[in-house]
Amino acid sequence: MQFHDITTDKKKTHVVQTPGTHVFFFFNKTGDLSFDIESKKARVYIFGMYLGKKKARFFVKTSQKHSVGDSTSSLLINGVFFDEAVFAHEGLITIPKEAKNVAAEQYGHNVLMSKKCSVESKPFLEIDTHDVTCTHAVTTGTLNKEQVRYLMTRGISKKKAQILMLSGFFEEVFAKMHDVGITKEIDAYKEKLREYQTS
Amino acid sequence: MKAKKNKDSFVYKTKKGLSPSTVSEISKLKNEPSWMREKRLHAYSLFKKKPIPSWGPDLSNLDFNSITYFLRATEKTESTWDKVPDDIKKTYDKLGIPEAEKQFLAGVSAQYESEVVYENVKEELKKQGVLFCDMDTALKKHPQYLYEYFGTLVPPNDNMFASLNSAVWSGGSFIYVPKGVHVDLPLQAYFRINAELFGQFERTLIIADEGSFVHYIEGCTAPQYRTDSLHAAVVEIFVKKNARVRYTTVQNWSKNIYNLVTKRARAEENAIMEWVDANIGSGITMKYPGVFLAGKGAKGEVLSLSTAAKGQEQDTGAKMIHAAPNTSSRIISKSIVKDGGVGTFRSLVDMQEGATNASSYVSCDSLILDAQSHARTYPYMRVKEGDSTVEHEATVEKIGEEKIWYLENRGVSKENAESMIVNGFVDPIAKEIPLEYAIELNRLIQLEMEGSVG
Amino acid sequence: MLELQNVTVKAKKKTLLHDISETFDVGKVYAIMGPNGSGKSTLAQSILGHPGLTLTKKSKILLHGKDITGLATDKRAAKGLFMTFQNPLAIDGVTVFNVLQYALEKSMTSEEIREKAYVLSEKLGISKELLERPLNVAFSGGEKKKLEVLQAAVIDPDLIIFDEVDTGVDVDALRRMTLVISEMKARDPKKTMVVITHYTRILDYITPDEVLVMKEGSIVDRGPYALAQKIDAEGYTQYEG
Repeated sequence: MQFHDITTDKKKTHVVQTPGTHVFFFFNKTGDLSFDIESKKARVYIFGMYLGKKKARFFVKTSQKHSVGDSTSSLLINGVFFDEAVFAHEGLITIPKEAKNVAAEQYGHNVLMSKKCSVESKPFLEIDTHDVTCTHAVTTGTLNKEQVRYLMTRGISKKKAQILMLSGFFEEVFAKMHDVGITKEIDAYKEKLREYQTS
Repeated sequence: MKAKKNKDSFVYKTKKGLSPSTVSEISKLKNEPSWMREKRLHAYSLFKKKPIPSWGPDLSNLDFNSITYFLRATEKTESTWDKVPDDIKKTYDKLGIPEAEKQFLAGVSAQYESEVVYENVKEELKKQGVLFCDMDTALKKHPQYLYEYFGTLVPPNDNMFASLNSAVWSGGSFIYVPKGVHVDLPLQAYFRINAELFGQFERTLIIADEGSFVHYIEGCTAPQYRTDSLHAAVVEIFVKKNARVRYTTVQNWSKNIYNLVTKRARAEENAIMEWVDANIGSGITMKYPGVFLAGKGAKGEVLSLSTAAKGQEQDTGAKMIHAAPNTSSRIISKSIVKDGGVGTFRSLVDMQEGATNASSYVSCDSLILDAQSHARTYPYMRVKEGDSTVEHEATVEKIGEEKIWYLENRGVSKENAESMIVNGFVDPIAKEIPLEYAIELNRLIQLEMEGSVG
Repeated sequence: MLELQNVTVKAKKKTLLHDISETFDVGKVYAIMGPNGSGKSTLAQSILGHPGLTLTKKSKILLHGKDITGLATDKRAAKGLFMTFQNPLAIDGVTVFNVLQYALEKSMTSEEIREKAYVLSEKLGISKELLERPLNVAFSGGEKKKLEVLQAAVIDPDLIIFDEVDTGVDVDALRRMTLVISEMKARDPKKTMVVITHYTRILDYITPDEVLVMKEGSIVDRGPYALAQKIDAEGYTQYEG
């Protein structure tokens, strides 16, 4: 399993040329990221996390390009935005005719915590063959009010309920990273996240 | 260019190609008030300035100079039965279309004898105060509505084909439903069965006054053939407070046709607008029915079904603009592609500042049946209001082998299993289409699956 | 009635079944037990001809003496073979009723199917509405199993494989399903039934004439009902090592 923290990596293209699990992670990154999957039996996981405050602006474009078959890719980007933060993500999955037996997915949750923040989300798919399974699901918006209310019936204050749910979004990413074998780095990330939250 | 008047059958037509004088001529032939002529000429000047869209299907083969922009026929049309392609004739036979209807659908005859049916409907509508006629008549008899609403939702500079339509429009339907009136019977363009309703550049205007309801249906599953290849229509719908409009289209144009349509509705407080759109035919279709949710609590819905086989590109989708609080929208799209067909889904959900407690759900699924075909989805979600929610889901896949095997276990043959699965796939939308159409639609999809059509 | 001769099944590079030879006689009830992954479901799937499974050249499956090794699944189903699915597939827009209509279009009218299905749904304790609900809309685990048993009872085939219909269902559901299954047997004693299970409770209602135990793709033991009771008491420990 290969793990790459590309948060500060300036490279725009990341080529996967060997089989096995490849994991990429970034936090609050702006830029163009292309993941070119050129090896059979490659399983690529891309995890992104965003915490936007004040006038932060993040523009990220990701591309999962499967040029060979028998490969999988999975993208998960969860972000929480406060104040006047701005976030725009364009995520493209491309599967050409030659790439058979590909499974690709894209998931994301963008949470808006103030009336003035804004998000633009564009999950694109370009599929030229039938031997694929391709899914994406992205939700953008406020915290689910029913869920907040449910937590409050357990005696949790509204504010605490929100904090609980927000950390849940980041926990989801960490849990999935853990599932694919990332363990020691996660604690460091959680610490960094805590610092950033309180700054 | 002067209009030619055939003294035997009063056929009016302009020479091929477009110019300001052709536009004026059209207006003169129709005896229009000067304000409409002004609008046409203004639209023409905008059209000249607009480039062909750089995104979407390839429209470079459209030759604007070879189109006849106005043709009014009373008994005869330009086409003859032998010009109609064989595969279209075969489909009529397979669907069991009666002779007279065939001629009409193929653009060979301009009229259809269902006057009797139509007369009864007219009586009912008259009692309710509902206005339903073609646009040319509406301009003469009810000009106040056109003056107030025409071109306000789809202005002439909206896009190239809206500009063109605004310059040379002819035919289309006009409907006005008074306050509180519910029109129980779906109004079908089919009732008005004459060529004026099926123009290449038809313009439709529907106004549903407060608390009213109407369901309008256009098109049919039987393939429609025209020699002229551009169908650039515009539909504007105004749904007033507490009113509801459902607009169903079943389109099966022949494969030589470019079907480029602009459809937009505006929904006021608590109004409901539903677009049901089935695109089976045409060579290239570009159509994104939209709802501008202007009033509190307004609801918009688009149910879109498209099939694309060899030589077809369906570029369809929806637009929802949330400009008021408590508005909600839903876009459901199902697309099937095979034999090299291209199915593209484009959507825009825009949550503007102030659209508090607004929500939107978009789901688009594509079924790709072979390795030659293509599925593309380009959803855009723009959220500028923190207190809103937009959910989007999409899947692209082939017919699952395990699902086929499951059905085979119940003695279903492989072909029937595929057919069942495809029918099940389109069912959520097909069932929203009134029964006569739905039966034809399922049969048509089955025929498409067998590969015996087109 | 159904004979397996030297059936060895591979999928991708793994061998899932090793040299299975077994005869399933007309009118008899068989139980197949064994730890998870022992090949019980694979055995059922190869009887019904799953296309993803490859049988070696020596493998033969005979139905009433005729070789059906290369026969397509729907043709095997038409010849009276049936298996319940642990997870019926979520097929958009297709209902159980649709499936029955297609399965029985040559022998029953829609009305006849409906009548029979309604009677069974009452016996199984599920609402009629479930018969008309699209398969991709949520069903509980218990409902899924009951609907599979319902299909078996409506179609009424000659040889039925019940693949773990007792897993994940409550006591009441089990009682109802086994009642329906034993009624099927009582009405037609010639029916052959194969019950794949881990527990004897279902076998209390449908007592097996023979119990087969599988492990790692082979049949490692055969015996009468008492064998199943022994497994119930001791688990599969006797087959370890």
